[in-house]
Amino acid sequence: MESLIKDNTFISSLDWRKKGSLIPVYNKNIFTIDTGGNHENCIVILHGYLSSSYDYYKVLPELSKHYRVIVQDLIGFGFSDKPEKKYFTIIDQTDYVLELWKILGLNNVTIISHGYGNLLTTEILARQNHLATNIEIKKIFFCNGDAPVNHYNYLDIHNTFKDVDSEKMISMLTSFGVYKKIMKDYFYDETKITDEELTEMWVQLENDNGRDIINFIYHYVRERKIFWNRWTTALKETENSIELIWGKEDKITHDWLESSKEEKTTNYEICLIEKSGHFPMLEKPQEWLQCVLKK
Amino acid sequence: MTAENWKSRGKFYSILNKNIFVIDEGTSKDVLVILHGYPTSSFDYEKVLPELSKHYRVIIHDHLGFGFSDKPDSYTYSLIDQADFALQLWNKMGLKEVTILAHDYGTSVAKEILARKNHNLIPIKIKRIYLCNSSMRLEHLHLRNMDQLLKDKKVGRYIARLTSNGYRRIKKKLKRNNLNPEVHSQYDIKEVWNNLNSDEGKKEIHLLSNFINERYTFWHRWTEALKASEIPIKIVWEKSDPVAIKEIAIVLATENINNNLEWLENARHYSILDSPKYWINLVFKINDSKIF
Repeated sequence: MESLIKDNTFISSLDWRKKGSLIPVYNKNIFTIDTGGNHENCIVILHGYLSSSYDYYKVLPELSKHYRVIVQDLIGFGFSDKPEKKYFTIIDQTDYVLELWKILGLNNVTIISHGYGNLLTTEILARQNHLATNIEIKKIFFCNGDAPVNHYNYLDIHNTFKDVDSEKMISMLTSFGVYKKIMKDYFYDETKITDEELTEMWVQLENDNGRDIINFIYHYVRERKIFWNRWTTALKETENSIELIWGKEDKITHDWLESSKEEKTTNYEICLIEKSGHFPMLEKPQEWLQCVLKK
Repeated sequence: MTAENWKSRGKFYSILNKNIFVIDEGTSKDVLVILHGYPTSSFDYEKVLPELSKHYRVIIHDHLGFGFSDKPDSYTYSLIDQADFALQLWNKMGLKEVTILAHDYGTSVAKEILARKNHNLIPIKIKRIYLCNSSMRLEHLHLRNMDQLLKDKKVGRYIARLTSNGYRRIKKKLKRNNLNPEVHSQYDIKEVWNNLNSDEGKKEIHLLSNFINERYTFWHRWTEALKASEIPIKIVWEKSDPVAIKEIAIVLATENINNNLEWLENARHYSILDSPKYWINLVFKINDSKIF
């Protein structure tokens, strides 16, 4: 099989920054890379929590040979503006995402999302379901992340589910050492993420006091509780085609596959990636691309 | 006016596959849409409707899960969902420009709609917004108590058993503030608390706590919406309401208070239920001698 990934693809944050531009949306600047513009079909990418568009640096060159690809840093992450010591809800985040796409003239997109980004995608589905947006979706790829909470969890209000994981994620911010250790833990094979890459990711996390601002783990867990009905209903009722691209050995998010079977929400296609942890686009970029491009 | 009479005055619209009960009265070109409070319904406005409909075409719908609207199969619709339903209803009714009046729970829905308006996500024009906190002090006391109880891990688990105790606490609190615990015959707090003992009531607790959580979670989104509003907003509040005071203090403490925000104190506790005429005069400043 022909390799889709060139060796030596490493890129520094600084060079990554040069690939995109800041686009003003409402009152904030959103760092956006818009590449492969000669293609009519468009893929938009929503990254995960504590991550940025940089997660996709390995797969972007190949992906943009087939699609126009828009990858953005969500508000509070990477090179995008930070919320001013305020909790920026998933509803707000979604408003900004949809407005950016409107500015870029996108009205029919394939969405790839990961982790926290999956919740934004689900909120977009809920808006479609309630006729509150005009965006058309060709296909959705959910990568590793949590499913909307099922209501059994919700009913027991004292069940602070996933607390261990949230605490783990908050503790990641204490120092680069801890961050490195926990990030490596998210990989099946920790040699697949280099110190060099982690340093670049940390630089982006630190950018513009980012570490102080990104402190809303607990709140977004809360939003998953608040919206369990809105989101699970949206997933049940959507007519969009959905596929899961899943690193099989994910230590933090393992419940989507199980809970979606349980709740019978799904006849999703599933593209499982063996020997991959939470970040298949970084750990197994070749296989991840095959899932998306069907090669 | 019985509930059945009220039902026959309105009609049902199918919105996003759910039946929504709507009262639509008055012939003015000025449209007033009303978002009612928790845990009641459009029926709250029975007494103010005759006067208001002289000045406005008045449209009041029961939120999903309340009044005569469809009761949800699963019982948590978020305030964000309620905003979706209200906007879809108004869209279906062909409303282009509205004035919004909201109470309590409804004010959160109104603020969400305002946030969307500020973000250019909705086409409907909004002329003016009236936000009335504390139409019923009772509700807030009820909420505060429930909130405290629910937040307490030990007590929360036994909440069903503690309902009568909760009732006593509320009654004591009302007494301390020189308020009559029977504010209105339809809102007998003992009944509210007894209700919580049933299975339905337990579900209600969760609905309740969900909406308290939402108010916390969307605090910034909604205060930002108020601060950035280009639509004139009148906020009617009561000094004696501990929840309102806290909210107002926080908003006032923030800088750049928007000139479009007008704060109006309801010092004499006029309510749509007890003193509808005085309330209308206070909120809408309709100077019609006949109403007194």
